[in-house]
Amino acid sequence: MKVRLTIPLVLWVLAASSAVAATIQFEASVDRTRASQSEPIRLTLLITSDKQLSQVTPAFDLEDFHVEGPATSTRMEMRNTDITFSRELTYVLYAKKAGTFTIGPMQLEMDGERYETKPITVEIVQGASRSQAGQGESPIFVLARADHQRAYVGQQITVSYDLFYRIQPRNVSFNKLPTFVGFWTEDLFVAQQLESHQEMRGGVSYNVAPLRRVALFPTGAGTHAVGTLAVSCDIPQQRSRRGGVLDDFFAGDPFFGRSRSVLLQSEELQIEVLPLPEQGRPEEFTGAVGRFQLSVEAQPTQVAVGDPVTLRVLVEGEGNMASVQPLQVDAATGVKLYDPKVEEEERITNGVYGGRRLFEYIVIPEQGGTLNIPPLRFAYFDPHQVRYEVLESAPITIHSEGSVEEEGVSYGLSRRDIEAVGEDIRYIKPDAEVLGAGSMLYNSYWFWTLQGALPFAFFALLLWQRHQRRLQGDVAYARQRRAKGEAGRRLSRADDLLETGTEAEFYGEVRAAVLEFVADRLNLAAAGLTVEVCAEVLAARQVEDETIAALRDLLTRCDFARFAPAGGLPTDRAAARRLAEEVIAGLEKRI
Amino acid sequence: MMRVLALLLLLGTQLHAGAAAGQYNEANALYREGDFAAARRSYLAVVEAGVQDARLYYNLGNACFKSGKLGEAILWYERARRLLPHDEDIEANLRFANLVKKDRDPQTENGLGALVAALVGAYFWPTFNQLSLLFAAAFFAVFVLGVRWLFAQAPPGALWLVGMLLCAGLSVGSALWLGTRLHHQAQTSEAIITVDMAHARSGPDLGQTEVFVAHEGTKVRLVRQEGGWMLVRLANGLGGWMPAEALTQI
Repeated sequence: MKVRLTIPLVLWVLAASSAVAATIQFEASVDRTRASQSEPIRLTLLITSDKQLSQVTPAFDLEDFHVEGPATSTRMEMRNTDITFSRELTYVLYAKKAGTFTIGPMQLEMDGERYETKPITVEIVQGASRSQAGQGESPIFVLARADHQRAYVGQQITVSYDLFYRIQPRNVSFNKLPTFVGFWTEDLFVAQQLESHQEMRGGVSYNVAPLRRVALFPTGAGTHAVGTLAVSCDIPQQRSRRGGVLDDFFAGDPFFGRSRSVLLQSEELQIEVLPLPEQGRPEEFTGAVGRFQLSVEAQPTQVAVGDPVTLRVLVEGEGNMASVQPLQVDAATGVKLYDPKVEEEERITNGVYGGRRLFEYIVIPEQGGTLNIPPLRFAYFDPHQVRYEVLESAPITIHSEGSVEEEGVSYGLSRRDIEAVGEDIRYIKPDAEVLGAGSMLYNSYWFWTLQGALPFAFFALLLWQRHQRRLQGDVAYARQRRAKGEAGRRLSRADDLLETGTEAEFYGEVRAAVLEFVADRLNLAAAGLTVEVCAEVLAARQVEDETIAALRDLLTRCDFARFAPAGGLPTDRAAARRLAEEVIAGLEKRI
Repeated sequence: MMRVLALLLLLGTQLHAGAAAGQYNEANALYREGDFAAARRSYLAVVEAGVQDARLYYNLGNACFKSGKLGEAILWYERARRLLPHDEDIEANLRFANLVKKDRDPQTENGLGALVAALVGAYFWPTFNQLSLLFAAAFFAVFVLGVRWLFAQAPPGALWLVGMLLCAGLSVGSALWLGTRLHHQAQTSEAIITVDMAHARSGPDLGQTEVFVAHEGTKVRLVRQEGGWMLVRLANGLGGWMPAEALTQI
């Protein structure tokens, strides 16, 4: 505790005593000269002057530390008549590794003058903080582990970064993500939240939360460094030895216990990368490292000349799929071969990176017969067996029939989705024999006439139906309605008898026509109807006297002619016929 | 005498329709040859003869589009659509022409719920002819059921009553539907801008402040006319007075 306080104090006293002599002073101080890797070192740069200070930033090089800040504060002080301006820059440093380091000298240029601080030497101890040194491993740290310390170029190395803790950290966040120079990388896992399991380390049980796991594929031989990962978090403040029961009780409590922030970083790992052996390297080898399977299939194998055959070559397995290149297909003569369409799929199985690559070649036989495509070969390096392997497919035989009809037939061979390449309006409608399509029904007279006709038709049907009902149920109505028709019929029969019939027949028909007309109209029995009864009834109905007289005259004539057939003149018959018609017409108006 | 007159009249319209179709087919031939300007003139002659036909309007729209008269093309597509709604070709070309024009159609935020929007859509979906036929069918069914009632031996049962009520409701409903739709169409008169650029002003006078500029092909709603000026409103509610000659009513 004393060491920590005295150093800045001494620096401050030195700075203050020399302030009188020089116009500008530039001093550096640290809050501690011995710290653990996870403990921050506060570096304070103080610039004092008797003039107003412009915005100046000192130059320095601190490549052994992670630097945060600076926090700046300026101050003006008056003592008697002297005014002093001071500017304080505070940086927080975390050492990247253990060892002894020199901070500074820092340099500052002002008004053409150079100022330098004295160098400060700090000692950084491994892992645990100074106060915890000698008490075993730190209660919280980040550990980087690789599954291989030595690997071949292209071989997968899985590096895991885990947070080991025995005290509960809070606000854990990534401070620095590792960089991997000399590797092709594929992330396997990045923690979104802490999910821990138990693990023993050095006889002590820890909670272990995986932070990040990454698959690395070395791209060149040599020794490569795997970058460090740093997380910052808050951990409970170390409780003081004088603390009582309460301190113990609240130590881990976020509300009552005090906490401090720390930066935890993993150590750098060194990986030795071996070159792939030259010896036994097959010709077909294109850089695939891992374990793979090959399957080849051609479909259809029986085609007409000029029809395409799809050759599907599938390479799948574990390893860096990016290094799997299209296979060499030795097309026989008489076969046209097109560049393959490639489908890729990546997958991670149990932390091992792999996937599949499908190459679809289109092969077109240009002549008939049996065509042989030699076996396809795929070579890879198996780092576990430390040897090259060559996979070979069965030979492919295609039978083609016929011959190509014309030269230069082009096929749509690179299969892909149909894409619109241009846009235009749609073409015109075809010719027509009659125009007028799409005219509106509501504008048509016919349409509305038809609609209007329906109620009229209904009304007409209604009347007709009423009439029919009455005819069936009402005898008087039926006789009245039929009277004229009946009379007409009898008269026309009389017309027939006019030339050919006898006197009695003719006049009988005319008499019946008139009498039955009266009987029907008045719903009387025709049988008992004499001339006198008839005249009486008609008179009661206010039929004109002339009509009654005419009726009486006609009926008398008829009776006379019927019973005393003296061969009357045809003119008399015609006159009687006319008279009958007149009488019926006259009666119709009244009865 | 009347019969002869009717026959002559019928024959006359047939001849007239036949001649119009011939001219339409000639215009199609010109279009196929790529002489779009001549095809346009030919189609227009058929239109001026008083022929109303969706195909004619559509082809005329195409000829206008190909002759670079975008506003007119949109006008004729709109007219074709009124005669023959839901026609795929008409819809497609109208959509395409609207993409080509300078003004982007203003997005209207009607703020209606999905259900209300669907109901409004359904209300405007059937064509006038479909509504007319629906009405005619329902009305005829009412007539048939009425006649059935007239000549029934026994009083009609519940099935007849339900059928009658349904058909009567349907005919009244479809008549109302058709009527309100026709009324709506009569109330909303729309026009297309057929000049390159139309300046809308705050009043029917060149001295008034210019409020917006719209370009060829944009559809506007006509509110009222005063002298040679039209008060128009855009789909987004923006309104202003435009010279009548800049617009053609759909």
